[in-house]
Amino acid sequence: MSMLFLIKHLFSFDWKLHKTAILLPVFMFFILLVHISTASTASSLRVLQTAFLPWIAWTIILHLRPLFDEGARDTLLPHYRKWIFLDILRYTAIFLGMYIVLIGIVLRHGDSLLPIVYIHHVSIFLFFLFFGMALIWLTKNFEFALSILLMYTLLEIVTKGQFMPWPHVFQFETFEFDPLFVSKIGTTFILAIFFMMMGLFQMYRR
Amino acid sequence: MIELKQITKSYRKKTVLDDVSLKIEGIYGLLGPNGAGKTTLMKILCGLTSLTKGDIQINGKSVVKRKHADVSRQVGFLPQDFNIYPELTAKDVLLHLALLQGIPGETERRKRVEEVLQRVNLLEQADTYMRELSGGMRRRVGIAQLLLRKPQILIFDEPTAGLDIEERIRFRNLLRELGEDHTIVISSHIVEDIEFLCTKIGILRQGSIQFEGTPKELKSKANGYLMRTIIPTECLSSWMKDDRVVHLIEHGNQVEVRYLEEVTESSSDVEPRLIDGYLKIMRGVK
Repeated sequence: MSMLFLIKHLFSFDWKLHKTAILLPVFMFFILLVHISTASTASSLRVLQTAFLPWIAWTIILHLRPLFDEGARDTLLPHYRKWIFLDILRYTAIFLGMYIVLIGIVLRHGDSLLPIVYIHHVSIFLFFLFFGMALIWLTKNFEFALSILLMYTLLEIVTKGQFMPWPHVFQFETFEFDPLFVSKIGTTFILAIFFMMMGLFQMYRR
Repeated sequence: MIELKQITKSYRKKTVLDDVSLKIEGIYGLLGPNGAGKTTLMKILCGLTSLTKGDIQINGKSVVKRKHADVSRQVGFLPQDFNIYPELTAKDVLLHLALLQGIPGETERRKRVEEVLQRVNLLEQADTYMRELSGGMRRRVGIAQLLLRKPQILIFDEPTAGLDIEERIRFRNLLRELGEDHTIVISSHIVEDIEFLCTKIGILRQGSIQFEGTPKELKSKANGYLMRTIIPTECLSSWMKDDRVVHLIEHGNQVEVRYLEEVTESSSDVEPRLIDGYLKIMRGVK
């Protein structure tokens, strides 16, 4: 069985199982495509962080949801354990493809971005990927996990992180190199690693 | 044969299984009240839960690796409340699991799925959504997904709990048929199911083994303790308060009451049933 066939099957199974819900990040991608085509670079970078990258959390939560249906865990868990890294890779590949298109449009006028901006985007992506994973494992409930994710993300966006008594993950004002920006990226990576360990520990513990 | 050697399982300070040793073969019934540790023992057996101490051997070879049984190829486990992917049809679920289990080639997978659906008598329901299947049918899909990878050992946790009478009989018959070419472990607190199916029985109570042997040996535990008396129907209510009573058999306006004495009675001539032996053991360890 080729890997390509397996990946194709896994995507079509996602479609069968989750229907349009699995395509929400793609719908968002098209909406952002329209927005970014007319917006300034700073505005585009803000929506890329806040309205596109966090959708990976939705994708992973949706993917893990069947594990928490009553009576499913003992049967499905060994399969999910076996394939979780491939699942993360295939979702990452899709998001990477969409990200390249979006960032290409942001840079359409020949502008360039500092490498730190890309690194920040990677940190946000990983943060939401593993935050979503840890959330559904901790709450063991799709709706709870989603509500917490939504509330946290909205609170960060609405208050621009001012309200939080800890460093926030998004960058709203400047996209230049500065020590605060660097420390924010460091913190986001540390949080991503923390949530990754928490999620994987929950998944693999017996 | 599966041999469990001094299995202990503790969660923090609580010991759920204490030095459990069993020799499992044929169709093996694990009996015990709720909370006795049956499900934990089964999950340890199929590698879903780690063990604190002890060893598990299959055909003489230890299968314990880093505190858990590494038996995904040999053992299939059906949980009590099996229910996966309610939004999909039984066939889609099985085809997906067949692929994840590494069965190569689409034709081969479809053939295997058809075979297992036939084996559990669900070919006609192949295109029915999981959510539309009855509890017994869903459990049969559960068995079908286990059979896909041809394990030699099948483990069922309370397989007939919550099923209606007809489904229960159908399910029992299927388990019996599967017992012809698999080692089967069934946990249950329904003694009747165990009596019908099992060739060997283990009784678990508060995490430790109270009995292991054949159904005949279990029945013999109640030899001499079982008494009977015939009473008029109107006296029944006073007998019902007596917790020694194990069976009531109606004969017109009289009732035959069978009860377990705490000491052997030489006058006892009643042939014990499996439940009598079970109750004798459970009451004997007060």
